[in-house]
Amino acid sequence: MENTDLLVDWSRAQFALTALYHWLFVPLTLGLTFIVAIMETIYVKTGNEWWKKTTKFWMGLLAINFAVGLATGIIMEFEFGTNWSNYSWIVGDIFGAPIAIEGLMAFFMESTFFAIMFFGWEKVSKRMHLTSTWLVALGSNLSALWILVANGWMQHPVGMKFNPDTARNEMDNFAEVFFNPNAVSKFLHTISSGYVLASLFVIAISSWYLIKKRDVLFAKRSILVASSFGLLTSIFLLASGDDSAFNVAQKQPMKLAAMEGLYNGESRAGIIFAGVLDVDKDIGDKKDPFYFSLEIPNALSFLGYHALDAFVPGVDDLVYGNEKHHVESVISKMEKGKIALQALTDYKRFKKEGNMVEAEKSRKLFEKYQSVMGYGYLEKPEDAVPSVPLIFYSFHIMVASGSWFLLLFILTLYFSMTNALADKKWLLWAGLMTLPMGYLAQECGWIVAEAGRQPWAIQDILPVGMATSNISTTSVQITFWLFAVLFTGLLIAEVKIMLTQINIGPKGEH
Amino acid sequence: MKLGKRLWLIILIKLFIIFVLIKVLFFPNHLKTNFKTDSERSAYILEQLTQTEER
Repeated sequence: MENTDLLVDWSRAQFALTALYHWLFVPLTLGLTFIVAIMETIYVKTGNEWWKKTTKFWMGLLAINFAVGLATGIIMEFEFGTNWSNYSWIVGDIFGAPIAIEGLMAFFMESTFFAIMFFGWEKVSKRMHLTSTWLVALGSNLSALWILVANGWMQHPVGMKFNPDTARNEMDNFAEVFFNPNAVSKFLHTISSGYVLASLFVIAISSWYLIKKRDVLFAKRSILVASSFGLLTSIFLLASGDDSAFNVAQKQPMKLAAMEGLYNGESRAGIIFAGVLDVDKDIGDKKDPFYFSLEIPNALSFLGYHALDAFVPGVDDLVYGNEKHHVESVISKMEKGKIALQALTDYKRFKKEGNMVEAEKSRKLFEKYQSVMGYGYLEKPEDAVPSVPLIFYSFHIMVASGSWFLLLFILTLYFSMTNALADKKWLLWAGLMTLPMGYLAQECGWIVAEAGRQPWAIQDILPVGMATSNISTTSVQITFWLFAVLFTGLLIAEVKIMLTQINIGPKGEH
Repeated sequence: MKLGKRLWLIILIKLFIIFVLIKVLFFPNHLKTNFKTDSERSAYILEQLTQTEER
């Protein structure tokens, strides 16, 4: 058992490493493509060559990010086949279909038009070039759509039926998979976070130019575009975050409880504005989970259930149950899960023996409880709880950063419009220093989404421990370090090439 | 187009590392490599799902 745990831990670490590195490149592409498209639209509308040169400078940085980040996500697909083969088989075409559409439609569209966008300035007409730039923006966002449809299904599996003969989930309703509320809110929240990051990126680099008192007009105009885009998309990010939290409350209440460090459920539950968790806190010990906390009253009830007096179950309610509020315990779900697994075993045995009557009975019993079959693998109820400190701090770093970004966009836009930005050194430095926070918030968002889903690979159906392949832990350890070296090398290359280009500056174009 | 050439070089080196070295040497598809047919794969996964005590 210890070896299995070690294998699962290393497989998870490797996947997390790949995903987190991949996510350093993706959100910038998602957002910068739109900013570049907006700048080029201004150029085509006004015919002002200055905007063409501005567009080309930011497009150069986009190209660096695109080239270095390209295909880093493919490695996750290799890992599905090697490290997570049980998972890959069980998710079947539900996961395969969106990933295939992403590759065939969105990625190829994005890549084809990227070539025209980057190399075709003097080779195609202005309008064709502008169309290509917008199609790159659309294609990169469509890529994200299909990936997040697949991811949303893991968080809230719908539109499928598990076939006990093939051990695969088969899609029986594409619309249900595509319009899965979890996937929709996740997609909107993710792409808008990319737009915000790209806005921060443009503001940070432009602020540096203003601090250095070089390329002043270029920097001011770039900040004006980025802060307008950032402000609009920040509002959208807030709205989609609210929708995302609402979906989490309905479908993944354990994740919501972990996000807020809520152990004992409450009506009129508040959101922790700031707090430090007690490191000695254990599930069910009834101790106050915080050393100190500042709370916004009723806010969590409203966020999760859109009602100020709604009851929000805590970790203890979800693990041990709460009859008064009709919260089913993990213990009860574990019993049902074990019945489902036994029924699956019986179905297999009866079918092998040719006893189709008993096989059918077992199949029906399995279908009755299959939605919680994953609980049958848990050894103890507390295993259904993710790492509360990791989720709590990641969530709060993300929210606090997002709030600061909104304020930053308001300030930079206001001072840009009043033509006073170049004199506000403190704001320029803040704009520059905020960029790492943007990346940190991105990574924290993914930690909340993915580590908050633990112990599940597929929510309630398949724990990560059952999703792994029986392969050697050593080979996973070797490839973990191989990836760490490869990705770090790519990141260094990206930063180095970008810094060179930024240092050359838009002068090369102006 | 010095930047363009440098980016192409990075892309080609990276694709070689990912698709030739990593995929071929380190990431065989576990089920495709160890089983010949889909029914064998299904049987294996069902066994994995129902024999929890061995994991």
